Amino acid sequence: MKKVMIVDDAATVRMYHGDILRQAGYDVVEAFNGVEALEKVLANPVDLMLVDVNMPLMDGYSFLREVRMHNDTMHIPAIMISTESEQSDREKAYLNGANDYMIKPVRPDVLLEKVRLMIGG
Amino acid sequence: MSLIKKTSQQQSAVAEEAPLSFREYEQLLFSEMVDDRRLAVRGLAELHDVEWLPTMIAALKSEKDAGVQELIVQTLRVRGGDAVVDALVPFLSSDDAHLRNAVIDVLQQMPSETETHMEGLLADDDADVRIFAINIMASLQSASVPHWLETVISHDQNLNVCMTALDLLAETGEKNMCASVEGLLTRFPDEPYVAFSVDRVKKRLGCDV
Repeated sequence: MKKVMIVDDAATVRMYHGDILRQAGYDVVEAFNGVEALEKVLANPVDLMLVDVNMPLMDGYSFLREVRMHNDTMHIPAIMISTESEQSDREKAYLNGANDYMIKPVRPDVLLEKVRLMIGG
Repeated sequence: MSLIKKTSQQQSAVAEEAPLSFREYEQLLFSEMVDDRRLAVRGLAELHDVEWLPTMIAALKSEKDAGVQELIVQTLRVRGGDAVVDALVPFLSSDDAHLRNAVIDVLQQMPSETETHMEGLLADDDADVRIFAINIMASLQSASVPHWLETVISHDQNLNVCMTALDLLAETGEKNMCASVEGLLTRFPDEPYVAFSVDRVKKRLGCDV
């Protein structure tokens, strides 16, 4: 079973994305912020990460930069999911290591299509 | 004390020997070298007979190093007071996510001073600033928090702002807010995320019991 990590400080977002992914047959790991996510992904690498931008302690950009510096995690694909919709926000996400960018709120079919494109399942 | 220039960009231009004057620290605060800027922040914080807040805020506006940003923001937190909060609030509009986070963290630690800004922040034109205001609100002990959240979910036009408020309302709301929560389904129809969140919060508040 493919494993997806959801990194977001909003409990409802984690539950919403988690429900969509679990119902589609994915294993889900959750993290409240970049610090917790980094600990979890370094201990147990996942197949894909869905990452929020604005989180306490460590924001999504900083988290992705850290992930891209470790051999075990540098190749894990990441979709940044943010409320910020400017083109510059999208560019910033790619510059910091995101493979794709989605604007909240995401529709379940669109999220699943992106996830399947990246990791199958 | 004289300034001692070093050749390496990594090394400080100043030896840490004795306190400098306000002007010398001010100069170092805008040095190209990170170590100098750190030294300046620490040094300025020790000066009790000089008003260094405007200088520190000016430095924060141009500072790109995350470590120095954090040092400045934490120094401001230790200083405390309304003037610090007044000066930090505008940084919620910064494009720098790390800086914004550091400011949110400090504002959360200064709840009574920050509370007076809350209504202004919730009326900000930038939806992201309104979201940050709700994030800060989570740490305020104010009795106004549930009312502010209910106002947001009833009137704010931005879905993500409303959903951030709803997330916090799940923790702080009361059963008499169920109508406002359900109203989101009318304001944002055909949005699966809204339907999911409203259902969750209604269960948390016991709306259907």
